[in-house]
Amino acid sequence: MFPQPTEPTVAEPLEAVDSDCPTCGAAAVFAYRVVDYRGWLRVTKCRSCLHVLDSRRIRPPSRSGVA
Amino acid sequence: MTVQQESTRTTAALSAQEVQARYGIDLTAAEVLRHALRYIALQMQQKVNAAALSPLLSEMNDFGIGLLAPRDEARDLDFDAIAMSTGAPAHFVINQYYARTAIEHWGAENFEPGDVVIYNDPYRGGSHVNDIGAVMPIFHDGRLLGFAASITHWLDIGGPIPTGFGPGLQRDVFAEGIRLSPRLLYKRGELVEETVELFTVQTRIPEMSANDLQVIKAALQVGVDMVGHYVERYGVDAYLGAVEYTLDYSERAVRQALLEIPDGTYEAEDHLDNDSAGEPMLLKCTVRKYGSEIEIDFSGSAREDWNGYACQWSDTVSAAHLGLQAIFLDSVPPNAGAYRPVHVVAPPGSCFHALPPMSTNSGHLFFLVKSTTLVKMALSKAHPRFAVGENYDDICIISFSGVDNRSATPSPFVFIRFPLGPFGGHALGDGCSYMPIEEGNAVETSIEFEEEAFPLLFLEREFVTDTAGAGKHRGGPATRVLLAPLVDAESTYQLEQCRFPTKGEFGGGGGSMASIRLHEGGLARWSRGEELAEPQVVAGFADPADGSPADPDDERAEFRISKLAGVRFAAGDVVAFQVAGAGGYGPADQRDPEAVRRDVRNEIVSAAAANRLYGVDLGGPTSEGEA
Repeated sequence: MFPQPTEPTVAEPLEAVDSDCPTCGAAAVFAYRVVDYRGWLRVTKCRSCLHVLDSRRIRPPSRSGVA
Repeated sequence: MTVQQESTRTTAALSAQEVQARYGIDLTAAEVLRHALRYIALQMQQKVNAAALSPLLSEMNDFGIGLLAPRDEARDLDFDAIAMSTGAPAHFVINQYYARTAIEHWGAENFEPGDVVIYNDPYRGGSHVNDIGAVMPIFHDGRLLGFAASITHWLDIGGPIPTGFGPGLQRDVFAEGIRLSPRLLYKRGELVEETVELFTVQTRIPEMSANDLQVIKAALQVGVDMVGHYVERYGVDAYLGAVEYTLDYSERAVRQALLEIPDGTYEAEDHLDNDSAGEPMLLKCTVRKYGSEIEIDFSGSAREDWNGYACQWSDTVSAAHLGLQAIFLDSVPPNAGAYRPVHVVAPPGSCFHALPPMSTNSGHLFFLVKSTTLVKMALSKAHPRFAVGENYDDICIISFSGVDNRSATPSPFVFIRFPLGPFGGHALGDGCSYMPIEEGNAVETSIEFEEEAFPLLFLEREFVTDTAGAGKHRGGPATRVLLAPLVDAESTYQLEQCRFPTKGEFGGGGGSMASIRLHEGGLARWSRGEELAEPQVVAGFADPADGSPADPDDERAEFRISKLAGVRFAAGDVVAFQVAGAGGYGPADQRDPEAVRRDVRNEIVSAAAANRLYGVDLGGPTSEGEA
């Protein structure tokens, strides 16, 4: 079971990636979780041109604990 | 596992030669089968409409039903949704997660012809416990060619609250009613009585459940049989090629529509009226759009809260897709291909992504609608032609339940109504006055049916003057319904925009706020043709001294929570349920004076407001006080 978050608002944590976007050159590449049409992914992605550098299937966070 | 992005990024229509080369099928057959898949889903829907006892299924269309692809790695198919009926769109996208998760759990290799597996655990890619998922395998010559799948909203699912919606009273998921991991409803075509008994013993609608569980099977069987018909006629390879073609067709259509939206980052902010403590909940959305890709991010929104103030991530994703598709000028056939260009960020622990054991039964509705609205609000900033004023922004509920003791044989009843409301003004014209929210597309149950089936009367259902957001293209007006239970009843109500008015766009004005008010014992006065007595505020802003309606700007006014369960109303009370008016589009002084005059004739706008808001003098009183 998960406790209620303590902070009043919640944001997806962005992991900085030491790389510029190979497509647009922007320093806006982060690793984070998204949902695509088949479920959960951890992506490394440019937030400027939305180019996906890497993408891996993960379990939905809500299924990672006891449910 | 690294994910390869296999899908086509092209938006151009394919030539007949390209279709043949890519899918191994000629273009004519591909188009015939693409339409056939949708037709099959519609036939499945008709079966539910015709045979179900629950008015949510027979009358309202509060369900989704359709077909899933098989798993075929070479064709990039993975039990994807390939066709859905026209029922509630909230269910279109959910099957991508709900049904596929259930199939994974059960094991695709464990299905046999005639099996039906059902489930309703919202934490398995679902929505809320009332939404019963079901899948039935489609076999041809022993080969699994996919599934028929459905989601049907059950009128009652047990637990402490009739109808299942218990804002404020269902602290966690364990208080919501029966929760089923995937299990057999039919085994090789034979009904599994133990599963049926879960519904007949633990819900308040045993007879209805016993019938409608069999209706689910019958409708899924229609899908299985009709796919079999087309496979017999065209062959397995052509069928699978057409499935691929159908998915790619919708993807191309969405990518083409996305190209019409200017690249950029667009933000929106809104609030839910209250959390479980009565405080507003901040809701945020950032839409990043580039080329034919889009990312919809709900970071920065309020944390989840107990007692129903959160929803499942799968609901949020589903609603985000609907918000996006709502701004497209052309509709796109709903299937998994249409969802490929979209990424959604749903932060775990936020109100848009409940973590167990949060209750999500009520929040399913609150945040489903809000996430669609946020996407539309954000994209309204992309270009005026995509802009639309805020609609009534809710799948609102009023329910009465109890025992009808007016005859010698008292009988329990569970009544629920989802009142509809107005939409916002937009670039092309005024907002609609009365229609279901995007997620619903549900038909409102007929008043005559409900008065016959349940111990209640509808005294009024009317548009309310001067509630529409002003603008070049005004929003739709609010509608007020007066309901009178004829026996003592317990009620659940959920109504949004009781604290904040709806928003206009591009200089358009906001609409009126929603409210629920009680005319205690009002039915007797109404029956005598007298005016109803002054109301008490049930939901909205009240004078704390006497409970009468109060001006929201009055600092003494108290806000009464607009989402509660277990509230008692007495026989003969009159409950006034008024949804919000919708927001307008564009400055009011740009509205065609003739349109203003028409609004006055139709009592959408008063003569005084026509003068004050639009500068149109009809020669009557110039302020509400003079009316």
